[in-house]
Amino acid sequence: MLQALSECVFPCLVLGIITASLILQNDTVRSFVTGAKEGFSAIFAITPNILAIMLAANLFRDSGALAQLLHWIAPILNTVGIPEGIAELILLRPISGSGAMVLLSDVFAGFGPDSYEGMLASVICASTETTLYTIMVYFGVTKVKNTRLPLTLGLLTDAVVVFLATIAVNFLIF
Amino acid sequence: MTYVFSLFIIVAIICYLITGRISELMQVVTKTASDCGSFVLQLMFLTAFFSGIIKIGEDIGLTQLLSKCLHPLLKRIFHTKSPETLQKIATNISANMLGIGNAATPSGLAAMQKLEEENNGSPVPSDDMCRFLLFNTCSVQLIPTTILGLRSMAGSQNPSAIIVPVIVVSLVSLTVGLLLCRWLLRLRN
Repeated sequence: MLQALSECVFPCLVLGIITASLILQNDTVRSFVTGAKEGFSAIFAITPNILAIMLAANLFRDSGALAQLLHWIAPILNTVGIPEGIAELILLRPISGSGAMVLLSDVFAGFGPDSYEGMLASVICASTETTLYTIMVYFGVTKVKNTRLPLTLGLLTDAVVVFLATIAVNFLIF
Repeated sequence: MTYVFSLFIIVAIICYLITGRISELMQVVTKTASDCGSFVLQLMFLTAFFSGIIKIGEDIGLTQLLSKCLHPLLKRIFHTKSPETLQKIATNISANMLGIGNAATPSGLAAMQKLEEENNGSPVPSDDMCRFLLFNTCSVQLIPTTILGLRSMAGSQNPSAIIVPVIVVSLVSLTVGLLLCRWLLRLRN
């Protein structure tokens, strides 16, 4: 039931948008092409960032540094119920959006997108934002110096998401 | 990010040196280069597709419609008296819900500037700023298009399986966040 609902959301949205666009006599193709162009340039613009984080993450993992780090923090992860495979992703998510994308696709490559780890990582990534970056950019246009409260709030909420996501994946998917 | 990047690479090179596998480093670099190429290329076309669809929605006024629907609710959450500020906040949140990144940031910055005027240039963020930032640091996006794209790129049997859990988790975490925000603000004031 839920599965079916999940599957229908995007197709229905597309159907609704295209139909409405037709009725309102909007130039649908031009809109699509303009949007697609923006999408291209958005990814093109962050290509160097993706390369940077891929390089750093691959070296960190291949050198054995990651395994050592995970070995140290494993007891904490086990208590909270986070699989080791997605620990690196959770730590990087608030800091870097492109980094999270790279690590998410690594989780998919390692465990499969439909595995427990894959699902959990997907839900966590989709329900959180690049907290640190957002706070930096948004307060950049103000004279605010003390960003401790929004930062604490943002990171606490991210932790809430991780907790809720484990419950949601256990009950709604598996 | 600079620290993370530098730390990762420094620690990695030290680990290679300690374990005496420094010769492997160059192979990892080469492999990364080719991985990055195919990853970015595929992601580019997928993002272009999703952005195209969302852009049609934007052009037929979906953002305005959503922002109108959200208005009464946001009026109760934010304490600002200025309708103009609230309007900018509503536009930003609607754009975020639809996943229009390049419409969300400008309206978000405009909303922040409005809130800044109300805050009289104080170095301490106002209550409304904290609430507004919460909406932006929590993901309120209804359809996580990038994640859907990455899932199908990885060959998922059912990339959309996560949509309902994501919406549930996002809504609950936003509510918890707002409660936490109220509590933290009460502690501060």
